[in-house]
Amino acid sequence: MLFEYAVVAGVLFGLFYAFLSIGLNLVFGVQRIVNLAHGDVIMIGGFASWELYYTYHISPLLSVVLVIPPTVLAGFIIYRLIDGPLSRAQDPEMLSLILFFGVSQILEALVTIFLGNNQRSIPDSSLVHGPVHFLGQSYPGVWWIVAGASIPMVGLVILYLYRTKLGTATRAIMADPIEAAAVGIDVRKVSAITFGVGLAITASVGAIAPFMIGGVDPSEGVNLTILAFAVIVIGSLGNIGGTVVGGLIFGVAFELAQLYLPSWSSLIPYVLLLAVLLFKPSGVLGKRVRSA
Amino acid sequence: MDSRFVLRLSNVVSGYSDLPVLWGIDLDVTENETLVVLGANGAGKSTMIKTIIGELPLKEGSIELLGEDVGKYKIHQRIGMGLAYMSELGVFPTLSIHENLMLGAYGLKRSDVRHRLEEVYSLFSELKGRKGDLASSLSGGQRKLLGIGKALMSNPKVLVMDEPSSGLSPLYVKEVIASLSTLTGTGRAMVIAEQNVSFLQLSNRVCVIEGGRVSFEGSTTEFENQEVLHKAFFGIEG
Repeated sequence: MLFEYAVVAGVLFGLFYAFLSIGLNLVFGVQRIVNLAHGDVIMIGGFASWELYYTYHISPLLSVVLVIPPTVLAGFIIYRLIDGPLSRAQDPEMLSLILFFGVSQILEALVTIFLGNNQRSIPDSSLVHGPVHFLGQSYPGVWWIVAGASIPMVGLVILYLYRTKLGTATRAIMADPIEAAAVGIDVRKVSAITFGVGLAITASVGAIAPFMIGGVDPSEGVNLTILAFAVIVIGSLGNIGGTVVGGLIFGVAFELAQLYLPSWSSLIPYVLLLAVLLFKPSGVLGKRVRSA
Repeated sequence: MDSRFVLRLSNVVSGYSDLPVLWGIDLDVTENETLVVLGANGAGKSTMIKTIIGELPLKEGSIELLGEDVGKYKIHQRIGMGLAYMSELGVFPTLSIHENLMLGAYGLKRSDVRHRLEEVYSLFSELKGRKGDLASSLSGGQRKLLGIGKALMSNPKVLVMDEPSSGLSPLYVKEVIASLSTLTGTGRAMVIAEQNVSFLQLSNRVCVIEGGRVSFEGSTTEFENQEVLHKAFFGIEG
């Protein structure tokens, strides 16, 4: 029974991990920006949710949506600021890595200065009362609520990418930005929008992340960024559908490790990351392209 | 400007970083004309095509497209004016055949897309049966046909192609030439940068680039009468 419990918990956490990582994959896929501040954006979403709950009594589920508009706008503006230096750089991926490392440090410092470095939490009762019983096991209700909220959010991103003209243009840029411009796509504009959407979905998951990771504190960004990188590398860098697969693999593997090898479970992100890089560098859903 | 010219390059100097590759190219392309740009590897053919579409900036000179100076225009702005480009790759491998074609019509109104799609599918019927397949699943030759179809989706006035024979076996080259031959004389101008002289059967005019300069420009007949050039490109006595 414990095995079934771990698998179900792994799937619930896996859906959350997919939601947590999808923005990073979107941002990386479009402009090859290595956003080391990804976890810090989640952290800011968490603090926004905490503030909205305690000051205005707004449900964190509503905050998932409320944080989106300001972050899309912020992302659009940030992209316009960094696009010039990145497009002129010899090695834009390395420049973005350094740039966003700096952004990460600044965000962490600013939040610490203004809000202190204590961990904050939002009570589970703000989302649900009591546990959920499933297949004879009892699970915290918030796990189901967060996993349930993750499905439509990830689904919306996938719908946007695969069912809208802007989404198809985004995937065209992911495939080849020059080729995309050569069919008439304004690459700079679409990339800026996508960067905004990527940051917004990241801040959005931050609003409910405290229920899955125990709270929100200014220093959590680094660990969340590593976790998200592991998920997108496992699934396939630049492949949005792969993020869901990566999240589920990561979630189930982590929960099983917690069950059978609890003291080793914190190694899971790194072990999976190394295993994928060594044996299938293109990720689980990475595909070979026919060459002739 | 003479209205017959749909594309005009005047004293174009262009290249990568500080290093020019093209040294003052002058070239006119008229409507309904097929111009084949011949040259060896590194002669500057691709640089010229990339400069025409705006991937590489002009260092000197000007480019006029349909009577308008487009020297400062970005790629997507030039494409929106009636220019289409088919690169060596030609397609988005990770997108489906249908999505590739739809992207070719990116700037078109929704009402015009269906008509264009029907026309392109009628030209390349083998693509229609596989429209949900990824472009990466196509053979090299089929990918080129999809690339041509994608470029035609916008119903361009000027179609520029960078080595459409690249990476293809002679059989597929024949297939690509046969497809392109259906487009000649249909009102649009085509500029084809090539090393493969088989493409001369499509051309009205030939331009030879050597060392970033135009070393010959004239009709296909004139080119064939130039013994030295004929020997250089066909490898046999004229």
